[in-house]
Amino acid sequence: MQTHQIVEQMKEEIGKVIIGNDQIIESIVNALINDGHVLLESVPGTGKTTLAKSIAKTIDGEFNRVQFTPDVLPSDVTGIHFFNPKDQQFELRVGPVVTNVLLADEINRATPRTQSSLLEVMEEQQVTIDRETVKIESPFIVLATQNPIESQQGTFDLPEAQLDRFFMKLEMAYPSQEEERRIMRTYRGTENRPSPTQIISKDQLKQLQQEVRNVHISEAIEDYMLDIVRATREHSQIDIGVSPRGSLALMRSVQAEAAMRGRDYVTPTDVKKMAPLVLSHRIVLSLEGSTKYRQPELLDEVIQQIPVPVEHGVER
Amino acid sequence: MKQFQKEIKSGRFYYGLAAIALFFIFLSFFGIFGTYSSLMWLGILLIVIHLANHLYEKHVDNRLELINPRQIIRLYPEEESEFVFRLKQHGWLPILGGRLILTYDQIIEMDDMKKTTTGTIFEKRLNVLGREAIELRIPFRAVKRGVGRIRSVRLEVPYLFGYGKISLYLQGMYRTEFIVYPEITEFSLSNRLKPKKHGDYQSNFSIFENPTASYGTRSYLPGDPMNQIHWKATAKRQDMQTKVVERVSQLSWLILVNVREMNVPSFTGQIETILSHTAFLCRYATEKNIPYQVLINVPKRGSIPFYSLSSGSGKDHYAKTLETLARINSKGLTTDFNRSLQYAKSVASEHPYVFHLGVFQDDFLPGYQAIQDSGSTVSVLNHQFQKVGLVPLESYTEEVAE
Repeated sequence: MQTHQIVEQMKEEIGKVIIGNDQIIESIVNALINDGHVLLESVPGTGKTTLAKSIAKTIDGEFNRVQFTPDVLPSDVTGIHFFNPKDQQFELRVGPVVTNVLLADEINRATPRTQSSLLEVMEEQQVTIDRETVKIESPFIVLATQNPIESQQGTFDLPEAQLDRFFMKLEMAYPSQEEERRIMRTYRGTENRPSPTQIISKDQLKQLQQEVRNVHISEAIEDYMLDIVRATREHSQIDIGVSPRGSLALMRSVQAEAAMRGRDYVTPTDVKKMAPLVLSHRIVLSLEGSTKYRQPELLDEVIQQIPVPVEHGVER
Repeated sequence: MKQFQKEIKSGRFYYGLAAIALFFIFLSFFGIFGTYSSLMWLGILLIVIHLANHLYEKHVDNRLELINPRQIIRLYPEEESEFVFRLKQHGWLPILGGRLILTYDQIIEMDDMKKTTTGTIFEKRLNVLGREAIELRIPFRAVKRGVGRIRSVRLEVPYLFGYGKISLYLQGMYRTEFIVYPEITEFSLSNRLKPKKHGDYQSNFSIFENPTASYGTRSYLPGDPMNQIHWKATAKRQDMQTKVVERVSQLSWLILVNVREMNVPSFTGQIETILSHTAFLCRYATEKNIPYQVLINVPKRGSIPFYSLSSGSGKDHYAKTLETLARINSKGLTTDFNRSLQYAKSVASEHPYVFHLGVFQDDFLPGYQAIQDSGSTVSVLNHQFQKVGLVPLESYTEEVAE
């Protein structure tokens, strides 16, 4: 099955549960193809958790969920060595992170220390508990949700290093009037509620990941991406620009985007589409900048300023 | 639904043209046809022009769209920026030699503006061809603190053959809002960050500890309490281990701002200076990662009947504070500061440091005394002798008494 066919199937399957937000589903599939983690942010009641659970159901693999609260400890996430009085020995009990799809629900309700317990596992796909390292089988994806409106009431902003490990940050919008009508009709009764089924196996996903790596990126497109990244590092309102990890994420996301459109080459439109999703959460605004702009707004401004590469002979 | 309300101002020549055209056609029929055929063609031409104008005025705005998303442009005073005015003609009828006329609030200034009795007016020429979208970048400068809007948008479209005009008024609101933050005026702020209470602010020098925030262990020392022993680590190492926990203190600020003139319910003339100093204090707290709460005696609906920013820290909280300060409309009324003080007494136990900014009256003293009695330190922003700085309440009252 081709990449774009899988995407269509997943959209259809998840669309049974999540009505609207097709772009968000596409972006999550993009992250999935890249073994990337996704941070879903929106106001309460837009279906973040339901979407994350639906995505997990379409992938063959183990699914775990951690409901983050201020009293969740790092060891509750990664695991512990506990003393077994029967054997008079310490035994390892791994935490919920050892899985294929981890739903980190309301991640910003945990303390930064607990949030940081995901740093190693998100980057290196392994978890170290008291000198013992446990490798996690691919695919491994963290789908985290957070609510932006309660930024001061019992919540803790994610540390920059943690944010940088998210492949993309997606903001879910309110559905349109027609979509909301469909939601009301779908969920009117309590019985026969739709539920997605498995679409993609682990092997298929690995194969997809291999195929996507072969998508061609021309030098002009490389320059375009690098120009955007560099501009974020030199902007006066940005304290910390996009990291090299961010550049790699952008490269991979545009490759997946092209493959999802049935192309084997990347266009500037792919870069323009993916850059805000992949880069905006990785930049840290200056104090003054943060009073005037939101990260996506500033990134949008940066992208507008960078000349778009065009084919030789075509006027800009 | 059409975005624009239309007003047509036809010139005298508009109907005159039709009358002349009909007269020519009449003459050509009742005169000697062959000799006056050119008169008939001229009449027909004038009729065509008249009809074209009629159709143009009727349909020019049918598929004209003003891209009007909700957006907020935030600036500091004297900063320059631009906003983009986007117009899209989905139909085929062009707008040639049109004029865009905007009326806006005076917290911003645009080039070539005119001040009138109804507001400040800005005009710009524009041309939009059929099925074309245009972007007009309009530069402007922030002049003074406040929140402003484009109050009206009018497009003046001349007739195709230029003897009348169509005025298109935007129905509803232009959804771009301009927020000009207060100027930030620094003042001397001595280091008052001594840990006084147990809290959740991490500090290397506090005498208070958070027993739940353990970040490691060390070897047991005689005198360490039993409940601090890390039994699991002790069992593993076969050596007594004591938990090392974070040192914490409570270090939040309560900032009370009085913007009322002494004994009068209106705003004080010093409002801009007071808000500038408040902005500075909040910026300082944000830089030091100190949580702060702000109470301003400006009326607001809700359970707390005046402006109250709940306690918080970080850049987002600071941005929210600046926006609140910008939204204070000094043309309105204020609330009695003693009400803010009454509320402050109920929350002061959460804040070891309380700051008063703005007009200070003697009748505030009992309230502040009660806050001090509950263990908080009260400081007042003093403007005496052209030197602005925070001084303890006692020193301030002594200085004023002298």
